[in-house]
Amino acid sequence: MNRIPLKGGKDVQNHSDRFRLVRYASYFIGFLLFYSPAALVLRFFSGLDGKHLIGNLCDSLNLRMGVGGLLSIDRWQAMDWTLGQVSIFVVMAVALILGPLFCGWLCAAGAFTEFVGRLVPDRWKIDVAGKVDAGAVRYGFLAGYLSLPFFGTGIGCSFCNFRVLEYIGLGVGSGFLPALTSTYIVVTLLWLVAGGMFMKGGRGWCVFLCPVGGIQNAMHAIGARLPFTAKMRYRPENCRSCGNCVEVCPMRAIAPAADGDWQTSGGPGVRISLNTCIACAQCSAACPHGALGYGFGPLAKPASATLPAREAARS
Amino acid sequence: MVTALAVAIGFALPVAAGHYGRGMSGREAAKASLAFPGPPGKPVTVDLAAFGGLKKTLQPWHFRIFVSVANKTAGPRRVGVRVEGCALFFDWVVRDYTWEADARAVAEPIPPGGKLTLYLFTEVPEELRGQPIYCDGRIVAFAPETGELLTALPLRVVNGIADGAAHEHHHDGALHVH
Repeated sequence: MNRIPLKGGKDVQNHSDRFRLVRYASYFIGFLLFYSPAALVLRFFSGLDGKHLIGNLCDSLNLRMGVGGLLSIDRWQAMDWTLGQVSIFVVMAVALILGPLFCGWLCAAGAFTEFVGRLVPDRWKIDVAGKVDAGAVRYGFLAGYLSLPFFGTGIGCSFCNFRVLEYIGLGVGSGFLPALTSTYIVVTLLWLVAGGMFMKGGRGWCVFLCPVGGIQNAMHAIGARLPFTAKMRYRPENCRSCGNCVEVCPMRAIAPAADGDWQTSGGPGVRISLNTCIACAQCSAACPHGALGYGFGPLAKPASATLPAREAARS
Repeated sequence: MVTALAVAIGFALPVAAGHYGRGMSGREAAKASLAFPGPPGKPVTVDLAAFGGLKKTLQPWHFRIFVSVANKTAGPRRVGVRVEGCALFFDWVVRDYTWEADARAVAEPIPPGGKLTLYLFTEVPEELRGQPIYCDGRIVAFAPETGELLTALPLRVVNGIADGAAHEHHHDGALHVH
């Protein structure tokens, strides 16, 4: 397991590593809640219905399918909503007010590749932080995904990383490698190998190709601008531009800011993309100066928002 | 300009994936739909020669069959499912219901209008791979209490053999499912 080297001494390193373990524990709870064979959420709702079924994510509680149906005219006309379709509204509402917490704390499919990615040395990985407009690709993908009913097609199941994770679980549990179709092989290569093992942070699939994450961040990008919502809050006055947050962010949502954007305690500071931040707060745990934290309140305003401040910084 | 290009690339990806997936799913993932009472469903033929390039390269001998059994009677019914006349060894993953492996049936009754859905996973064993036909049998749904046949569907697994030819090679091998 590769350790991400941080500045600020052993305490900062240990705190960040312990926090990561807490996050992984939370994702494991997410696995038990949403994935077969446990799928406790589905069991709970099935139990209410008197069926006491063995849980299975797909068809019943697959958020991808919920997203895929948002623009389906037939579904709105029928108003016949499954648990998964209703759940996507809950997830969206949470993202609007509290941030994309499903991604940041419960989605085992995203956490799995983040974990596996740490087995590969960073020097073999692509780092997209600050180099690629991930939000543009991500929202483009989301728009395409939502438009699929109009093209007479869909990728709800054939390109599902949730399902592939279930297959991996079934394979480990039974000792039998499940048969994958070409589409699942593509997903495995993109989600687990290219986006997981060989992309820094291990969440390449989440960053570019997950419609569930995309729709949450779309809500978050709106909600975070409201002063009463929760989000990762940046305090530039505490920031010394050590770069720890940039290093540990699994979504590569933090990048060094341009000179003059912030009035910091040293260096240019950082910028957080609301289009990819999943509020996992790993950056906060790695910051030795208290410059980042999850909480309610307004976003910090960049110094560059006012012309005199920008000019002062340049001079 | 760069942002617009990135959005366009992002938009094109799911559309292209949707069309690719639709083309592949019919060839690589078989579906068997059974219902009782009712007419027999469409026979299922898995042709390994029709698999896509990726599948042929990485998993040429593995495939799965999605099976659904619909209860169209007026009352709840327990249902058993087995594969007959097929020398392939299938792993079963039964969705949503408790599966009693000894009885080859679900523990809970399927409600009227409800469906039992399951996956059959298999790998063609090495000793069979040189043959043109791996399986020429049927998927059977039965009542576990009485053994009564509820419905059945022909199942053939071939490697580039036309439908007519497949009928001439009957496998009467023992049942190897579990």
